[in-house]
Amino acid sequence: MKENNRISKTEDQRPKTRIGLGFREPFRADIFLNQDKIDFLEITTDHYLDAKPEKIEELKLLKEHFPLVPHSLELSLGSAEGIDEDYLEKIAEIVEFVKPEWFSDHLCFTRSGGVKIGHLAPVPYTDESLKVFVRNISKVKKRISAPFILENITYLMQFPSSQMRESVFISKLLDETDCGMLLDVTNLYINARNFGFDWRRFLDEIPLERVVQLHFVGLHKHKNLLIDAHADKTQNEIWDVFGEVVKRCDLKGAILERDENFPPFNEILEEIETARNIISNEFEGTAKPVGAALHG
Amino acid sequence: MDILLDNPIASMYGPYFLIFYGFVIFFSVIALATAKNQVDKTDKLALPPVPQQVDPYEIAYLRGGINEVARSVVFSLMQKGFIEIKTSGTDSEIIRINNENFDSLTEIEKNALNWFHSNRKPVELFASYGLVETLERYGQMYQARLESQQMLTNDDLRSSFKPWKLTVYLIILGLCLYKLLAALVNGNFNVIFLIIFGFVGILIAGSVGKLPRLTKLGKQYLERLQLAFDSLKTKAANPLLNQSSPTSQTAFAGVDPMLLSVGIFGGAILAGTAYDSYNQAFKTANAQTATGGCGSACGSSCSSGSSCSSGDGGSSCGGGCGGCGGGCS
Repeated sequence: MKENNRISKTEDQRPKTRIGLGFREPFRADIFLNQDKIDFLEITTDHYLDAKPEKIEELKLLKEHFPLVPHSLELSLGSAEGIDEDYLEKIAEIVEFVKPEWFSDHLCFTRSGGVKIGHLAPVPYTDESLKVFVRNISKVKKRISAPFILENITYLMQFPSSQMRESVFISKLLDETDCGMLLDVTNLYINARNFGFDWRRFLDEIPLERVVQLHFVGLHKHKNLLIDAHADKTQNEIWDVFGEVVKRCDLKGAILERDENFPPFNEILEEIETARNIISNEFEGTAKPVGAALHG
Repeated sequence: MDILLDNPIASMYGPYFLIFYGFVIFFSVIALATAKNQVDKTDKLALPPVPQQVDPYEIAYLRGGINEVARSVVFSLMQKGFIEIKTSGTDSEIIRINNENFDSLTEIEKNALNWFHSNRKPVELFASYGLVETLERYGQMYQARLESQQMLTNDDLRSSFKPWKLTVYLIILGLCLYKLLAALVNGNFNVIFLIIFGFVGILIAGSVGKLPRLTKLGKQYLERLQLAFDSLKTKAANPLLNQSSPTSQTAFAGVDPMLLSVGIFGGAILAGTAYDSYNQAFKTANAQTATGGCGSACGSSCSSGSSCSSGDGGSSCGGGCGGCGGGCS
């Protein structure tokens, strides 16, 4: 983050961390009936690309009732072939319409040789990959002026060709691109467990002052493998990571990201309330230096 | 005096005059329809946000008048276990159940429950001394509130449209009477088509000149609510929410999602759910009431609301008088 954007804040001036929900159509009525319990919504931009008029009306309706942050899936920032200009243009239109405080996509590639692979695929953590990300992100930032934040993904394999750890790669990337981070605490925990590293060390190595938003949701256990299925209630181990992150950095918001196996909505609200309680408990307990990323 | 009976219109050959008169009627009616659209400027007002605490009965009133409120109250009483609907063939009967848990009832529901002191047929709800009459004061309250919010057509709107309506009536009727007089004075007595044209013209103008019950703002607001709460339709079909356990449903964010869905979309949303007997009973009641002679008056209020186009099978208002009676006046 550029120095002139930095604002030092005392504990008293810290903005309230908002707790919200990833918007999914089946939640719509419940969300409107519980407006006071949901601070903001994350919309998946891809649901509104070339959308039917009803979806556009839905977006207008949501915008009029909640602060929204767009989250895109297919910018494919890790693709060596570059950014899909048409897709970027469509995302830009949605971001311009929503006028969010920030928008986000993933640290991965989803397209290769012009073909969508339908999956958030990891890249080897090399200097070359770093250059690709920097080039693509600069193109996105040139087109869209809203602050851009990047999300860590889960992966089922690690590249032998990687030259650095994920955390180091992310740190370098955030520094070079001046982007914020969307830290998915579930993804972090899953990767740490599946590949046997210490998630606390990961947190030590990334620039926490750049963490703007969190994602959290329950993990799914499949034999010995943990999977990010977005279909389970947030477990205690995830809350532990959440609590640690909240303790160590200042946040603008956290989003519960549930995509499948929807429970009764009061269970969703309970999870949102748990997140809120963790944040307020941490708030009361500790004084922390507050970083710059997007808090101006 | 000569000019009155000796001018191009007075002396125009009958069939040519009928063509001319047809055009006059056509363009007058077009002008009236345009004026009707222009006079309602409520679409320029800010659309109210979707409230968190929604009154299902008020929304039901907005959608279809007092009859829809009555239907919604019946559904709520049924859901809370105070009444049940017994259906045998095409006959349905609403039976009061012994339940002393009156604390779970709102004021309007308590009033409605008193009306069910004996077994009732669904069609009785809309008859004289029916439930609809019992709930009339709530209807007046909702009417006043929604009119003040400019969701329903009010007297101001009616009076600003009145001159347009009178002008068109005057043109159609005046031209007809004038030509009739001129024809009779000139000894032409074959005026039957002229009279038919005039009569039909007035009927068309009367129909086109009827202001819808909902203003543009009211229609947009209802559409907004229907969009916001669209997923309640899925909930209505969800077996978890369909079990007859009123407590689990009424505890939801202070608003019962099933009752809210009936208020917003109409009882047809319950077709095929655990409350299908309710849907069937009112379908029959609609048919019976419609044959009882409510007539065409219902059409306008139904067509003004978007509820009819929500694709729910139409019994929310398409069933006839039951769904719009309150708003037909």
